[in-house]
Amino acid sequence: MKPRLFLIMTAALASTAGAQKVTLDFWAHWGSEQRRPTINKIIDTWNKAHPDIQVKYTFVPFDQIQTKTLASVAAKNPPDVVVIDIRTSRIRASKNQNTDLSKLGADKVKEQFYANLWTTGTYKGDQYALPFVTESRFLYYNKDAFKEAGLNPGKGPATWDDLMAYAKKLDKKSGPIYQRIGFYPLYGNFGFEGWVQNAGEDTWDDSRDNPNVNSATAVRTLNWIKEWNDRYGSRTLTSFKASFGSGTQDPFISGKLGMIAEAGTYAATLAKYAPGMNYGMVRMPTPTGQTGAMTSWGGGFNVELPAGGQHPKEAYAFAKWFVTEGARIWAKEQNDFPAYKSASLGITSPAFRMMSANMKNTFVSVSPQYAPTYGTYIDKAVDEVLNRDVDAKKALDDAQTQIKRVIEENRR
Amino acid sequence: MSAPPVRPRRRGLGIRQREALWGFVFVAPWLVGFLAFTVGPMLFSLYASFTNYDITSRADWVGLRNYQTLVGEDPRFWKSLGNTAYYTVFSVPLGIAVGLLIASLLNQDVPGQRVFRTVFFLPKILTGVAVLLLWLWVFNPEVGLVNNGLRAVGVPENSLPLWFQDPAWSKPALVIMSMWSAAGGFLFYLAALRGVPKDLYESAQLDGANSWRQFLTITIPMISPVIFFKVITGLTAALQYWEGALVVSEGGKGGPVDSTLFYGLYMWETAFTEFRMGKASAMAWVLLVITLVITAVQLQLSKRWVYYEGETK
Amino acid sequence: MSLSRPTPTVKPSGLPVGSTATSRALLLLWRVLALALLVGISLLILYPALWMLSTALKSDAQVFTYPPVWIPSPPQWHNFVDAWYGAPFTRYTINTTLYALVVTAATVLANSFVAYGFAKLRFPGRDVMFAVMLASMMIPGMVTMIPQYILFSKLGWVGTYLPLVVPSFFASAFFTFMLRQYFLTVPNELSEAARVDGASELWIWWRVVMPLATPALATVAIFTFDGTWNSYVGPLLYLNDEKLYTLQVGLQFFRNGSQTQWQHLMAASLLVMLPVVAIFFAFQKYFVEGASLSGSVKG
Repeated sequence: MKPRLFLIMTAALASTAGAQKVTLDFWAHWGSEQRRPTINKIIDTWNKAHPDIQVKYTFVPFDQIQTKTLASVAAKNPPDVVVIDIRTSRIRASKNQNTDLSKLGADKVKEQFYANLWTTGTYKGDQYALPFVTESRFLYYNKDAFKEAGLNPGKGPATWDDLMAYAKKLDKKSGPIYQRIGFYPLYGNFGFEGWVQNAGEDTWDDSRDNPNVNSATAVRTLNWIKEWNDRYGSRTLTSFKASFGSGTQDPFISGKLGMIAEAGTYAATLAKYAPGMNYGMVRMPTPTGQTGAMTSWGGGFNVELPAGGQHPKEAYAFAKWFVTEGARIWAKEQNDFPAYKSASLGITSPAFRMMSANMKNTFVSVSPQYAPTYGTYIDKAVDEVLNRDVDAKKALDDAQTQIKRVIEENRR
Repeated sequence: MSAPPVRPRRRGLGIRQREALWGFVFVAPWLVGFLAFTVGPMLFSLYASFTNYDITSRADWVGLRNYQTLVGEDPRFWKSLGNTAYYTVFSVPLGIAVGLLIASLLNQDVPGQRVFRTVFFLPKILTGVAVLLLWLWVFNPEVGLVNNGLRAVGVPENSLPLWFQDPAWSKPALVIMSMWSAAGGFLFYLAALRGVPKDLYESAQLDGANSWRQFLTITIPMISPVIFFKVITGLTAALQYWEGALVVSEGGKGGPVDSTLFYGLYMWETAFTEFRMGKASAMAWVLLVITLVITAVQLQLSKRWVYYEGETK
Repeated sequence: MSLSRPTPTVKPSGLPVGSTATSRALLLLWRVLALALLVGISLLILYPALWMLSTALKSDAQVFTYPPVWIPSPPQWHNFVDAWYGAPFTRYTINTTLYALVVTAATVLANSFVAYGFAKLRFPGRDVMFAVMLASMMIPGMVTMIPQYILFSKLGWVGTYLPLVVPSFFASAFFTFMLRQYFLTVPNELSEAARVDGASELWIWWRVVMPLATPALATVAIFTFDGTWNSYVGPLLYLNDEKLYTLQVGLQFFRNGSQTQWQHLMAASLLVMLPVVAIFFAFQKYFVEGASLSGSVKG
């Protein structure tokens, strides 16, 4: 058979089968030598198995991917699939920036993902995003420091009172200078809002349209943090923080902090920079020791189909594969915790097992659509209370009023 | 210089008309580019400022509401305007002074010109994220260059500024950073200084004027058009400035406590985090008006101090 | 206060006036002082650059050691090699060089052309147009970014270099303003003389004004080259193919959201800036020569 005739015949066959070849544009922020091989492997695996749906991966820097995607959606010329911040999927849904995946059959796979992550992409009952990876925060403590301070290294703190009591024992001073600070709630990676939620009350209602930043729980939490703050002193805490390095000079590794709240992936950092370190990893302590749905929190990434893409069906097929089978490869090689349950259970490292057990206690706080920048008002309140002796109730009332004003302004 | 080709004058056109015609020919590239690429988006943003435009789902007419909200209800608008005013007032004059100082020094007959010029241009070349980490170290309260210097001159430990961690010191830190970056601006002045006729100085020296007097009566007037250019463009840039906030605060949110919430940063947040492009456009036009008013004032003032050797009125 | 130039009288040759011993000593003192100041400022400016070099030579674990060390031991010279291969930098260097050269050439030509019109020619509407031009510089780019993107998308230019390069052929407010100011300091005698001889404005622009303005044009060229070389948001917004990316976008390969490989980023940043430093160093004479209007024209 002559080559040309052969080509015509295969083309004819392909078109009768409806399998016209499409190329999907896929954007994500993974470009480093650590991430690149894995993403290339995932894309290659897909492309080999799907000659008619080829995926072209493009690295887009993290700080610009949202803006670039937005511009392309506005110009009606978007990529087919993007990896994007998990907290803002719902806002994009409310602004018609991404594609309704329920129409493409997404609801069928709902049960395969952790519920707290799945709902980040649900807007008005429809699904607009598929969750890819997340993390959860834990309390890490230095067992050697525990021994030195006369604490039981086999038992981490379970309550806020434990935290305070242990920290007092762990503090180490020479003269007025701290050599080691046992614990400070705003160091590490947990934040004021994290603690309020940890205490059992969200800073927003379920619809995330009404703020609740001045609840009694929030006031109590802020006063609790102020107690810590006053113990060490604002200036001491700030200059102490300025001395934190990273890598081997990470404050927890170098012994500057006895305990720290960090993401589950921090275990990998410890393994890398302090392989011999004797540490414990426990659930975040709560006021009472009881755990709830918001004991810890996490962020992460979703996969979305920007609105106006040319090949939604093919894009959805790829996206669904990417967050399931792709996530399996990703989790194995990159140590990120996948939203796809089966992929997460396939990895049996202790940190992963703790993470999957902790998912039911991990809250993923979705950005409120009418006040995505509300955090600045909370930061201001926290600063006023800690550094300017403003009453906690008053500062949080002010924040609540301001956030309500912003919502009202944005709803118009 | 070879002799200019002689061309017969076109009949029917006076000198004035010919000149005007040439004028249009010369500005035509800008005019075409402006009409093709700039005027449309500019007018669109003006229109958007009267709507609730969110880029992707709506653009309904809301009249003056965006402007009213900004001026009447939004404390962060005023906060950001105040921060930007602070930054502008300090960074623009200091930046010009630094550039002029370096240019004047380089205009002296000192050895190593080529090396010095290259070094002073470095701040312009060094940009991007790498510089970000740099400044975090420089202003580190414990081990940073600045505080080490202050310690060396005897500032007690407890009065050392915490810079990026302290709302009272975050803006001064950014002004210092801006002076570093402004060093590269010396090139503008140097180019102008080189054009100042030497004989002016020589005759002034004959008249017994000292160096400082020469600087004030010859150098400054002769390069005043370029200084004026730096005043206007410096003001424009400072009023739109916001990149520094990305250095100071984690995630670039304008912290600590909104002390680096610059107008440009607030506008960016409004446009791309809140998706309120209508309001952001209103902010942009408010800024445009502010900038134009300041420029008009400067233009009036400039008549007193800017000297154009080759003006065509 | 209206400033009039002091009228030059006699032009002495050689050393400045009053070659007495004291004034010589004063002059020498002044030069030493200037030199000392220059060295001092240079050190302040070099400090951060040296810090970058130091960081570039550190190991991953050393980058954030506290207190920081200045001299990494052992210096990790291979960071430069690793960084270079951490992203397709060879390709990006070619892309960026072509991009920067085209934009620089276009900017120098277009801006000086337009600036000549604004500075040296009288025509109705000139000052209004000039004001509009300045205003176009004063509107923050972020609100015109999306409509401009949509415009270029409709033209089918997104994904190519066209949106980044074509506008530079049409003059920008910033450098037109700068060159206009500079041209206004160039005395009119020469151009008037040429005009009387029947020269066209085109000829005067190219043969009279441009040669006199070499330092200013060189300044525009180096600032444009440097700005284009380091531009990040524009290329990132309009280019959709990794093969077309520029050096500054390439530097982002070392960042993963919150994690950054600082030592590689610093090493690559230094490599990326080297060509600009080299060009600047090599073409210096243009910043200082050419302005030969002293003496010959004046006086």
